Amino acid sequence: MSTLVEHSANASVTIEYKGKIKYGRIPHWIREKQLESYYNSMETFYSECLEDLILPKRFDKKELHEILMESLRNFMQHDKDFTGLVTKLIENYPTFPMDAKTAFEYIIALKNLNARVALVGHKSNEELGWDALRSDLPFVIFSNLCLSNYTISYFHEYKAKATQQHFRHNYLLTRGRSNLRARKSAIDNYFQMMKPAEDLFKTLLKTQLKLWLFITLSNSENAKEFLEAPQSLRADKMDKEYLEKLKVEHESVLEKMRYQLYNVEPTLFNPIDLHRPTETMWKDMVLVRITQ
Amino acid sequence: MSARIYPDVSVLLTLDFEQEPLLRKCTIFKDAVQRTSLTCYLLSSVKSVRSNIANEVVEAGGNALRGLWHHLSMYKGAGLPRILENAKLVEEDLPSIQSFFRQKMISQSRNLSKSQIQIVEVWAIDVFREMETTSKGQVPVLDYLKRLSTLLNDYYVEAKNALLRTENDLRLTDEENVDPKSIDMSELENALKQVGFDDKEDMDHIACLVWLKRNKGYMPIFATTDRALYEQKDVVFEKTGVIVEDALYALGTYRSLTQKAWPISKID
Repeated sequence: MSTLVEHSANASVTIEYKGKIKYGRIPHWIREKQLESYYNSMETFYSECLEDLILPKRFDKKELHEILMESLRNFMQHDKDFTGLVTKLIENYPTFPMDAKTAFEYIIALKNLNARVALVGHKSNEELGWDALRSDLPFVIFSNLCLSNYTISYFHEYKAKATQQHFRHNYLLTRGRSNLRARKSAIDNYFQMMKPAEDLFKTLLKTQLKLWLFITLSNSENAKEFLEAPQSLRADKMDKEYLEKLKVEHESVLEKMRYQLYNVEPTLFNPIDLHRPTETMWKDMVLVRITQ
Repeated sequence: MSARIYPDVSVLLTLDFEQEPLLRKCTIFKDAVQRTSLTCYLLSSVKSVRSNIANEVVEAGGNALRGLWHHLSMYKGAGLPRILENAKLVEEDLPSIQSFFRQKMISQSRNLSKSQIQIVEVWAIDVFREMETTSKGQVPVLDYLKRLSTLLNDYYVEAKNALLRTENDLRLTDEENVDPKSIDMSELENALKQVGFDDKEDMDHIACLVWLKRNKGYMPIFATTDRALYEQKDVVFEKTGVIVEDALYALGTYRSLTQKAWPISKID
């Protein structure tokens, strides 16, 4: 549950922005306001996910929403690095006229966020691996959720990289007042360039959370059990048809997102090193034994 | 698996790309296709076949791991999964794990599932070797199982990424919509079953090729690295008109077909 909230909170950061650019040292209350705007955007995100879901009758959506928000509050109170990062992203959000320092700060914040998403995604994948073993649901559901975590991580990597490249070539090189128009269109182009991937990313995040909420809630007797994460995830406790529907929906969005990312940044999909020399050696030995 | 069509010369080729032992042959073929700079198309049916294979393979591996969990519960914890929380594995337990996978492999009917379980078995040994042990050479069973499961999921991610890369390497452009279900393959299936050949995916591919031959007039070549299918090439050609060719010679066959076809079309 904590990883679920942390992961969705981390992942959602780049897609929401509600705040005004302030110059100079930012007073504490404005930072609070900026965090509040992020908190509100998460509130909308969770409520949209819950609204679309058909849940077992024993659960009250309002209560669940409150639980998710409570966990988010706890997470934000305890993780100052995260709240600092959110503030940095909001403060340095690309808005005309943006100076070079702000652009660099924004890129650095995006890179830090990318590192956080990768780390929490890894933690979440480990949990999913363990859940997959103890469950009798199709293994591929868990594998797809892991694939989804990887894709979320790829998106953040792409965003940081693309932002850096875009600003380096189109913004930071055009200095001086005579180039103000070029700088303005560079910012507009940046948002246009990111839009297709960001739109798909929002949908992916939502379908992933919906699928995972449905699986865990169907296996929890009450909200308390949901908070503690159910011991095992069993297929007989859930509506199979609805599960299939959510699974197909998730798979289809995931596939679209992966194609979109591959088109814009194929290097993200370079091979993972799964065939190290020791593995090859062991494989040969096993093959010898089998053929004997 | 992937397939491509050359509409300019009415020839179609398909090939298994993701089978690791056949990687060298596949790479030679892939390079040859890239050198020719021909336009390649992806069959609509191939996408679903490829995706089904990835799912089936991960499911077989996952079931093997779930089985291993129960096996170790019986072996280490007298049948109670909870005891596994404190259970430890040592080097001497490896033969038992290996024999579990062997049994699992024997019970599988499909080669794909067998090879996936074999991969999981290799991991099972390798992960044990890589894990940090106590001074007594012990490894916590739960950590061990978690690591194996994570590895299987990573493997799935890699398989999915490989599909994307292959499509890109061959510069597959548009999808060619085919309807293999409308083709009756029972005659060929029966003929091949009599000689002991039974591969669902290959049948699907041949059905696609037959559909293209009938509906679009292509001259299909099935480029394969599968020896078993290659040995049945005469039966396949007799029943369907699809040419089965070894991946190494497929492009040569394609060239000789097009060269022969050229003067005939000129005369016409």
